[in-house]
Amino acid sequence: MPSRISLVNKEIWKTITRSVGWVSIIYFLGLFFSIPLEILMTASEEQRKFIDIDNLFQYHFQIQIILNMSIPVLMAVFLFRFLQLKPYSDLMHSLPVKREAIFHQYAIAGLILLILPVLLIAIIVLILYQPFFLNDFYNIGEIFKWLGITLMYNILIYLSGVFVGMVSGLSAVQGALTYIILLLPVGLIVLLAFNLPFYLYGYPSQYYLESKFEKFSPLVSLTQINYRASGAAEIAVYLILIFSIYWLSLWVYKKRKLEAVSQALVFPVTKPIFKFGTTFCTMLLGGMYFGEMRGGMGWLIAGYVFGVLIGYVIAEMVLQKSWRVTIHLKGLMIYTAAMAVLFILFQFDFTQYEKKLPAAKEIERVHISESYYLYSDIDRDEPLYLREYENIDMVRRLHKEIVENKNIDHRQSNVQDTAFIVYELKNGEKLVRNYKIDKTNYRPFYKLIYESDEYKTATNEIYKVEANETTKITITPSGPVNKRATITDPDDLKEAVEILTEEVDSAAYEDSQNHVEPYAYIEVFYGDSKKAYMQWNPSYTKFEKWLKENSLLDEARVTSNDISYALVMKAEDLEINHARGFSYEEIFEDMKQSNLAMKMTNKEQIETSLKNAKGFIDGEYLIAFYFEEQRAIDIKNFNGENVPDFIKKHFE
Amino acid sequence: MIKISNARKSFEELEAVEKVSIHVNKGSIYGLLGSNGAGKTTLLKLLSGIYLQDEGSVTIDGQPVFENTSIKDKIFFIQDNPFFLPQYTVKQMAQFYKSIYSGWNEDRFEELAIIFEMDIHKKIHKFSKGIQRQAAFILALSARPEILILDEPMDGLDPVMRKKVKSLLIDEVADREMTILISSHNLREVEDLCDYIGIMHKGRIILEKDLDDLKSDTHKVQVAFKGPVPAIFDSMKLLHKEKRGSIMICIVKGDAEEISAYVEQFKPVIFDLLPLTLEEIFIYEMGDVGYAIQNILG
Repeated sequence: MPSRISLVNKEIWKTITRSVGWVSIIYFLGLFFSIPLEILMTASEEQRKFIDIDNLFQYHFQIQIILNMSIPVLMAVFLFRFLQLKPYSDLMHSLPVKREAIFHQYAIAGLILLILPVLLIAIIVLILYQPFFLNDFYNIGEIFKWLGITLMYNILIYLSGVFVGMVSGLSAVQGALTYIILLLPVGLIVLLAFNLPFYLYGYPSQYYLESKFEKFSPLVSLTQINYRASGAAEIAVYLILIFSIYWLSLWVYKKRKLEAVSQALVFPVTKPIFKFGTTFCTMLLGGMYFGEMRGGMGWLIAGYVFGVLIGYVIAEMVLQKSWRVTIHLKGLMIYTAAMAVLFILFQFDFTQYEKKLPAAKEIERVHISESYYLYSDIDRDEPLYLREYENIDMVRRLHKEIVENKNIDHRQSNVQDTAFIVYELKNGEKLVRNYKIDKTNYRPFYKLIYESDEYKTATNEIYKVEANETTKITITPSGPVNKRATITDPDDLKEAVEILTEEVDSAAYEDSQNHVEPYAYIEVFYGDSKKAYMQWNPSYTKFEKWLKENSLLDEARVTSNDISYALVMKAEDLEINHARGFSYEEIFEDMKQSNLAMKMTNKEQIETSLKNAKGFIDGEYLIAFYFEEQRAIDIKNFNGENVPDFIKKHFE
Repeated sequence: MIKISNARKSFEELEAVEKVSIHVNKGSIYGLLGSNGAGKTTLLKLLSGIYLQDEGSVTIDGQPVFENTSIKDKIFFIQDNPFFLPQYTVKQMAQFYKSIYSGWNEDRFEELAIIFEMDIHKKIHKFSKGIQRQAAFILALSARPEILILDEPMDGLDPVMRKKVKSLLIDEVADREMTILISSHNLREVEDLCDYIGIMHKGRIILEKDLDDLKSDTHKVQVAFKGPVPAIFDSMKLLHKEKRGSIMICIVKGDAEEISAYVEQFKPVIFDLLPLTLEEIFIYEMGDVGYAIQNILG
């Protein structure tokens, strides 16, 4: 009787509400507590002052997240409980109802029960909107945005749960596997990003890890919806996913063999996929953990072996539903052999990843810096790019040199620097590489690039300043002093800008690499509220001279006049616990107590020390400056050629 | 009406049903016998449209059963452990089935509830096993199916209840030509009910018989002669023969009167023609295999 088994069978609907109605109710109560109740409770004038909310997600966001992550999966698991329990499954499938009809009825009923609570909350907030003056915080469109986005995520997560339910034959596996699949895209990206650098020399993990990959996982993306707006493309992809997962689930359900109910995975083909997929992921996880410890190749391989064993055994346990399992060694051996082949292939760079270097004429422009963050975290509109042929060619040659030195550099433990290179090709493609190197080995390349006009123009804001338009220059000394030099005279300004430009023009690469702390930070104000920022490096002696001539020097940097005395000691004579933490005051007190310390009061000596000291607590000698007026201490160090002769002499 | 031909069903590596063919006529009660793991339940689930055979065909009235709602509407399947929707009362289950089976008869349901003295407003899972099974019978019979499929239905019922259920089933068959398929691991349990018997062993049907034919057809003959035994056995359908002293005991197939007339010709000193128990018939019929499945006969 087709009419009786049509889509809306009242009794089946009743069964569904009887079994999963509670999920819907909990969801409603949770949301009600999070949003409308919060609105009611913070309605008073006094409390409103402290409300910092501009969309609905921000009301008890954590609670909303937990609900949005768990409720859809709970719904899918309990709704399709009849699939995972053999007698229940047999009962439902002996009825004169087609699987298609069962699926539509259950899946859609679940959808309705998920949508209803959210819809009700949206209606309640709409009702509250006028009387509670919510327009002070957000416009009415936010309510619909909240409704739409919440439902989109809910439905996607719910349908993923439904789909997994069709594939698995145990409710617990259905729940767990749903989360795994939802996290898998992000998880794999992270695992691969951490592992690939071991095989692909120059693989820029950070570049891929930071490239907004969160949206590949609805679960991760969901945790950011309170501040990150979903793009149109993202929404389109999610909607397409929603429809395709629905139909895919139905298709799989029709093929489901009921005799496999109560097995972890119903379809035999999925078992090896699950087994080797799990093994692969735990292998990468092991590699990531041990690889990050930097214990060398031996530990890395140990991490892999460990990960493979754990993953393989866990997968077997899940599939055999017992912890006392027989391990199928054959599968493990095939897997190991496959991985060994892959490993060897990577050693031969079979993807040509390492050797790949675009020809200079293919390159539109190139970025080179010491870190990915100098590429991504920038105040400017776009990162530094070089377009001139000489520079492009120089970066290419540097790149080639680094790759050729792969095996030399690789094993050095004192490799501290990073070379981050991005080529933008004329055909629109990008080639990104990241190398750990010792920059001193490549000084000629860096020197030529960094001293080129193009590089200097691109990296120094001072070149943008029109000397005539300058309105003010402030020079703020680095160090615990409160003074500041200000230039406002138009002629002085013009001169200063010219000198500063000249200084930058003639600055040598080495001066930018010696880590000496700048004397001061300079801000050049020009045009309509535009500002150029730069550092005053001790190597800018012309500028220093000019300041002196204009009697600005005393205000512009820390001088020996600010310092009543300084103490110098060999670092090895001091006990500094870097792990526990230390304060300048403690170290200074220790130096004062010690009879090994050299006390310096000679102004000239203090001046020389100021010029040469670097701003970290490591190195051969430590120097503590005491600022009388501020009663402040600054501690710096000397190292190698920077150590002034009189200090060397004293400690001999 | 029910026709299974060359059906095969395997679960991963295990072959549950191998090339089974059976034929059940409308209005008959077919008993499917076999020890545990013989494949009875699998065969019944193939017939109920729960499983899909890997090979062969399972048809009712010429139509395949799987995913065929109009055929499944005529079938009711009671599992070996009856299952009901969680937390449901008998009444709620009745409403559920009423909305699904077109043949549902509410009057019949109320009548049966009275016959079985069933509290229809109590949650079924709170009942004992036996009462749950009765509830399953009430619901199944109220759905008025043309075909009733019962997997080990007598387990957990006391003798009085067994009798009640059996007579109800026989009435239904007599009244409206309902067809019943019933599985059991014990021949005695169903021998008074079934008119057809199929014996399954390791996934195959090894014997299919009409019980009435079988009973009237097979006899135990005891004879003794003075002097040498004449060659009377050559022209008889013998299943078994043995000699105890001067008495010959044999199992013979054929019409009782014809056998008597034939044997009397040889003027035996002693001649008895005795009926056999079903159990004995099967053991003699099946020879070696008979011993392998003896446990279902006793």
